[in-house]
Amino acid sequence: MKKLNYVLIAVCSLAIVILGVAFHSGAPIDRALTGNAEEVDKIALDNPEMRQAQNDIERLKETVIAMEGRLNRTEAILSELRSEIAGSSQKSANHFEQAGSQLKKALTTVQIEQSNRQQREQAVARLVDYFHTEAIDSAWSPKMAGLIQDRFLNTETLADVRLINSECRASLCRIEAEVDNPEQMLLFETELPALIGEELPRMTTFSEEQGNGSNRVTVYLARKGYKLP
Amino acid sequence: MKTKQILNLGLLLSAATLFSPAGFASDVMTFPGTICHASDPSQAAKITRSVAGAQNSSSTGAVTVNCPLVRDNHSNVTGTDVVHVAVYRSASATSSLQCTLSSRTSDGGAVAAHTLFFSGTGSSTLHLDVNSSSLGGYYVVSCSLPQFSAVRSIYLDEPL
Repeated sequence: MKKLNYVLIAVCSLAIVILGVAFHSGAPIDRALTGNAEEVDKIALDNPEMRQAQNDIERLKETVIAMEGRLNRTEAILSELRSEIAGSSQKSANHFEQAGSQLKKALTTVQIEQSNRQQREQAVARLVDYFHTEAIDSAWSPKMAGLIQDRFLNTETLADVRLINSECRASLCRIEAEVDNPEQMLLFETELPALIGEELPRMTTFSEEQGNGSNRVTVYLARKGYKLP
Repeated sequence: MKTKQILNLGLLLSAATLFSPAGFASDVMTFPGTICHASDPSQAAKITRSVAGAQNSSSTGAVTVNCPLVRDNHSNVTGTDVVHVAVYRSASATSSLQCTLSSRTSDGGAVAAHTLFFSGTGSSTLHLDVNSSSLGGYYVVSCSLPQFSAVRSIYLDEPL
């Protein structure tokens, strides 16, 4: 019984060694088992079916190589096309972005001008209404209107500015004047605070171009201690 | 007990109002007085511009300076919240120190102005404001500085 065990162990070990050699050498197991690979090749070459199969494999290899070449060329063309399309899209995007920006800017400028004009018209309407409905302070109004006229007449720098009218109510005065050019206009605007700013610290100015190139200027001024409506 | 609850609720509401975002909805910028330039180029030599601001260093008379303010909110039409102009008037000044805050349109047209005078001596702050502005317009502070008087700084508070 013991001898039989030893024989079985020896056979198994031999089989393991043979299989190990076959795996390490990469040779087919049958050849490893037979131990004569050259003989197997010779048999394969002598066999016409095997030869045909090998030829078919070679042709398939060539076909695959040729297809790989075509695929590479196609991929290169595709890559070029993609980059061209991307460049074209970027150009188009830039073009539209630029055009959009210009359009936006143009619209914004128009909107700003329109909004400012509306705002000024509303402000004028509000002040005109307020001025006409406000009661007259019989003590202060004529005194203040007279003071405005006196100071205008006694200010040499405003000699060219034509004072048309000055009128006061209880908290608001209105000065109407005419100037011939932008320089006179600027002088009028900058001199006015020094002239009557102590009595009428807050003012808002509206000017309207006349047909003859001159400007009609209307200034609303709030009495000290009051705000403009 | 009920009175105490009402009182607590009132305090809570007051605190919420005080610290609500609306209470801080303003944009403040400060400018050194040295940004001010003489309005008349022939008077420019009389203005000393230093870290302490712009000062009329002459003894002959008043010089007007213009101080441009950077408007952060250029889309409101309600003017400024407040503009504080820190000024100094010398004891040797012979006229009042006068500052005007002007709100103008983008093409330079006048919108609104507020003028204040200071006839005292030493440092003072003029609190100016305008209640009207135009879209894209700007603000300028113009000051008439008598002898040895100065604009130190300007504080601009705009609504957001």
